Amino acid sequence: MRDILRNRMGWLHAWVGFVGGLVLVVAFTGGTLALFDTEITRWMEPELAALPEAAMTGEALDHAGAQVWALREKGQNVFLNLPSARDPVLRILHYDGHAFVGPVLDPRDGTALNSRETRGGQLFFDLHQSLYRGPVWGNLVTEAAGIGLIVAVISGVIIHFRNLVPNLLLFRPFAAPGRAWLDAHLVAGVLLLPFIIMMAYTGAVIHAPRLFPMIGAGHAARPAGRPDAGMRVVGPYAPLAPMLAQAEDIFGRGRIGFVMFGTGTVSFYRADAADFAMTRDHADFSAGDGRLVGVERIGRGMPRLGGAMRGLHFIRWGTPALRWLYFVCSVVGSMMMAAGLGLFLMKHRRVHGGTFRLALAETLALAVTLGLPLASLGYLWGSRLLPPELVHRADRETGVFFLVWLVALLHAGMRCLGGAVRPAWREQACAIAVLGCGLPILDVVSRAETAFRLRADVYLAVDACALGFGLLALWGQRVIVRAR
Amino acid sequence: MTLKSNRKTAKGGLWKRWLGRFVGGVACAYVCALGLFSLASGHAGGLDAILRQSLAIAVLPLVIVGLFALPGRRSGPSVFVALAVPFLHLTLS
Amino acid sequence: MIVLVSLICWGLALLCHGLLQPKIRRLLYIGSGRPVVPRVARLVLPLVALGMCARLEMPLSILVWVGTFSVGGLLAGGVLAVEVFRRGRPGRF
Repeated sequence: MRDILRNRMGWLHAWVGFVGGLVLVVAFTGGTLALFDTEITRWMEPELAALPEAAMTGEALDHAGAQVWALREKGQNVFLNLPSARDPVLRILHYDGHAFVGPVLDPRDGTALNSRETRGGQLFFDLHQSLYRGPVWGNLVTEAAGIGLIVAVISGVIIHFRNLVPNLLLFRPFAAPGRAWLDAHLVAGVLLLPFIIMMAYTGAVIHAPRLFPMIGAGHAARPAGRPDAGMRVVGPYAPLAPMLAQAEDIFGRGRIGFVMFGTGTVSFYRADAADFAMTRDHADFSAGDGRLVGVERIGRGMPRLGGAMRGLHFIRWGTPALRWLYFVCSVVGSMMMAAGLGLFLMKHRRVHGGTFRLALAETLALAVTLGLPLASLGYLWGSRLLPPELVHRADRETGVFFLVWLVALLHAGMRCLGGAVRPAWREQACAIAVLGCGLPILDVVSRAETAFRLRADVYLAVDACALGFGLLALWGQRVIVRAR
Repeated sequence: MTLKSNRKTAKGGLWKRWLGRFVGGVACAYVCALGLFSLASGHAGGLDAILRQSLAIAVLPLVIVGLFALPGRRSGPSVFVALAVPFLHLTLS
Repeated sequence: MIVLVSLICWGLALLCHGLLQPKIRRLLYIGSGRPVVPRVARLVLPLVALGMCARLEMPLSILVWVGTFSVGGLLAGGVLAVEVFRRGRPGRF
């Protein structure tokens, strides 16, 4: 091998791509699912399927507010999430270190709904941003991987520069496996270039304080904590409904997302979905008499840059069509990275075949490429199979996710160390096919009262996606068999 | 950009050289980014923290790839140290 | 509706772009020539898509335009791959 630019860039792309790719496939897959975190959470709370669609009443808000104050007087750091088009219920939430969880309230009267305890789709958000190891080390690793992704993209563009436009659509899936995977990697990589660069860059900027801790700009991720003793205030408290009406006069009708409770104040925050720039504009009221005490708006120009980055990355303001576009791009992006991992292994299999190092690389690649989707499906299965009244249910559900992932890793390790790499991929693809194709049946069986009301809702969408991925895995394992 | 091929250079040697170059490049890029922070915050008014972070994140991968693409092999990572010193000085001053 | 129209425009434009590439033309048994319609379509259709997306709010319009480029390209690539297979010369170029 000669020390020329193309070879150097090839080395950079291959090694940064592979080492970073092991993290990036997890982050991208987690991010893909986190795009619909609210919808997944609702799927995991089947008790809410029977709830009729209803607007929130003032009585419900006041009742919810009283419950929040009662919890805060007991020292719990909770806030109130208001109903939205994506999640039409009231929620009293607290941060448990990984997700915002808490009781669900009826938007008609504010009474507690008998919903099961779950972290829902927020598990995938946590996995995406911090590999479930936030807020320091996990964020730092994903941040470094994000920078690595940009490095891999730039080096990949340099390698492929001459053929970038002519081979934009050259995909030969029926060619030799190496050629077909390379084509898939290139076509998806080039077509998704704007999306991947945008997501990697905005994601890296959002978590930049982790990489540059000496630059004080604050960081969104904060560990869970209990309120200070000074925050505990005692009633009587003014009703929330009139305050919400005033806040809506300021920010617009239906644009309030959540209510925070402070020392003698109640703050109504603008919803993330209200605007492209995700800012924390809020109106503050006196908790005792409901008087407006202040409004904070992030001004135009530079202060909104951080909000714009978050808006572009999290896309909470987006229409369903845009969110589906992001979803498709993210799924293909994950597959493109997985294809890159496969290409790296194919290349090194020729020289290092049979060595422990390669078997380890094969194991890790399989565990993130197929093991993670398998664990995600296992998580959804666990959500419906675990008893609703189980103690520490959210932890048990998360435990199911990591247990399935661990089993997938051990399976991959045993098979790859035994030299049976192809059967290992096939077996995990089969497992995904079984869990994916079986999920709609599980949904119908475990949600018998409401499952036969066929309508375009979150249940149908999650079932259809699981079925789609199950069928894709079924096709994939047949391709593996044929390529033998 | 093309350098003369050295037949004596084993593949493992090249791999180690590139690894050294990459590690040196990353360290240099990080120091460059910190230098950029200092420059951006140093002048009148100073730039907003988020803008400085955005610039640093944009510069970091470009510098890593740029340094990795630089020709020359004998100097190795020592070149990067020499390049990084002015930025380090800016950061500390 | 705008998303769908933009997707179709991008898909067709990139399909035309693919049909103009020598490697793909060889795979599809298309003789060498310089057809005018695909050349015009690959220039005009993205602009039509942009015009449609411009009816949305900013920055939604830009995101939809770029997003439909990616998805439209994937669809066009899939159509071309199927067509190559159908014409019975898989893997040869």
